[in-house]
Amino acid sequence: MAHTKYAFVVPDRWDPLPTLGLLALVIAVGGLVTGILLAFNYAPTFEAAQPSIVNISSNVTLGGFLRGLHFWAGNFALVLAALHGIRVFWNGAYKAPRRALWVVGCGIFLVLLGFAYTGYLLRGDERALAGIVVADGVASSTPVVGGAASALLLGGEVISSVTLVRLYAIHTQMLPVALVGLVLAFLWLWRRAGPARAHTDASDDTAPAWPRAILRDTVWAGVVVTLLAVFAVALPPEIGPKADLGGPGSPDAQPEWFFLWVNQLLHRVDGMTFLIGGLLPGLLVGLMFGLPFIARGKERAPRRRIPEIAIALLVLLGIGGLTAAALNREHVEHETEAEQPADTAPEAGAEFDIAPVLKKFRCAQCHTIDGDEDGGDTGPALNRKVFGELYTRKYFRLKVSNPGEFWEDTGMSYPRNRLPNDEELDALTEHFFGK
Amino acid sequence: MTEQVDRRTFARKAVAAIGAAISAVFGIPAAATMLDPALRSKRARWTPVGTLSTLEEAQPQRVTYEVAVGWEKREVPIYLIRTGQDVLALSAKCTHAGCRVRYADKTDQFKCPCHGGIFSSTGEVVVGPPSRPLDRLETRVTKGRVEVRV
Repeated sequence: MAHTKYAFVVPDRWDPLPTLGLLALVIAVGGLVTGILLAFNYAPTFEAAQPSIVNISSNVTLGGFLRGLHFWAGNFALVLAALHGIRVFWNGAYKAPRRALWVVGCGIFLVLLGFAYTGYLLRGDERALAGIVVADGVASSTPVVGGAASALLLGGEVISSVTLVRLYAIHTQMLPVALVGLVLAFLWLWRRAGPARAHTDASDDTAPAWPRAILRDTVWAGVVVTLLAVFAVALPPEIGPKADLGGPGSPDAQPEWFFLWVNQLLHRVDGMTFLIGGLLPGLLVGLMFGLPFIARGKERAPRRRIPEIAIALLVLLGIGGLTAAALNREHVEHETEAEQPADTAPEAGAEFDIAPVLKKFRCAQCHTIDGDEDGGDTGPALNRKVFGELYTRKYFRLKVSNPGEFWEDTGMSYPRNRLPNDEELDALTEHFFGK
Repeated sequence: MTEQVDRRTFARKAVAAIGAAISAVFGIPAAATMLDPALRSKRARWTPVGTLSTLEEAQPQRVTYEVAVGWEKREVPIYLIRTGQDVLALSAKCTHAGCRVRYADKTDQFKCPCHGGIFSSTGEVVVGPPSRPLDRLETRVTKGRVEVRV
């Protein structure tokens, strides 16, 4: 019997499923390294944060690439860890004797979420400010200890650079220490428990880790890191305008993708800020951690665990649906004025083609326009007859240029925060009302 | 025999005591500085924010007052609405999730950019997720100067 360091056996397969967790770890280490290097050029005050990031992206040699790697590493690690967790759940591999692994793994997932969240707030741009504002709103709404929670988050009465420094300390000091500690504990537990066997005894082929599994893992790590580099170059993370702490606030107040669902609920449901922003996410986290102690049955095969899988699926679908709804919703600047009163008819002879306008604003996604069968049916049909009966020319112009104002309840919106300009308004008015 | 038990007991107590002392040396200042913002008590003071004569009747006017946080000073916006000799002061902080509302002249309403809440010009909820009106600040007029208690 050969006695080697890699004597333990692992599943003998070439697909990436058994290696998802390791891939998350590789990417997370990349995030730590790039983060340390970003800190050389970043300053955590509201005066300096956004400009220092712009400097990293535009002046520092390969700085934009470094920042892209860091941003995408955070997102990749989060997604890979989540996929890994979902797979573990599906296979029932969280059950005793692997419960401690599940709990520590959940801790790692929370830390990764914390990294991604504090990370986008550290940009110090308008969107980051809006994110801090909403986080503070949720903290303040906590019963009894709301004031203290808000003060602890902000470091004072109001949002200031003190707040940003606190977030910086969390992002660059506390979370990395927590991550390293949890990963060490995780690896130790994993080494003791060994890889989870398949839940059916059949098809449980195993091989020594070296060389096959380690070669497989390295190949997949290479693939994922290549993908990471491509993302870092092709989709550099955004940086918005510098936050104006005394300013009117940003209408573009969407958080990062993983919290869109909470924000969408906050948007749709009246009141209940703490229930939605604090209690509900807390409850889900509690369910996640407590899973192996709640679902105690020994059965691992998914088809014998229908109830728990159904519940998990419902939660995931709910979060997914809300996220989709949030992505679909666009914040439109409320105060954008209709520039011109509509009484002045367009210049004689000016013939507009409205097709490009309809296309640009994706009107047909929700409306059936002039009886076109390809149109959607979410919104009312738009045609000359409807408008002739329902609206005056002036009211139409006001509505179309001010959806946030008039269609707050219906959720009417424009893609990408753009409103039709005068020329486009003229074209639409002329088309639907005649000259 | 009894001596050995005593030594063990002594050792255990000594280790626990010194361990606790070591933890306290690092832990107390760590916890104190961390909790500092929550422990700080806030004393409300009358703060001048404008003059009565420059406020138009029933026209919300955005003004700011200063708050010191750490090494920084920050301006906090509020809205003043004059009715005769009385001034109503509204917090600009949305009562839903704390975003900053802004006044829209055209509709004479306050709007929140984050989740679509709308308040009337006196701060009552018109539509959207907020569940209570905009917070009102205590005001007084002294020698033509408007002061709020913050």
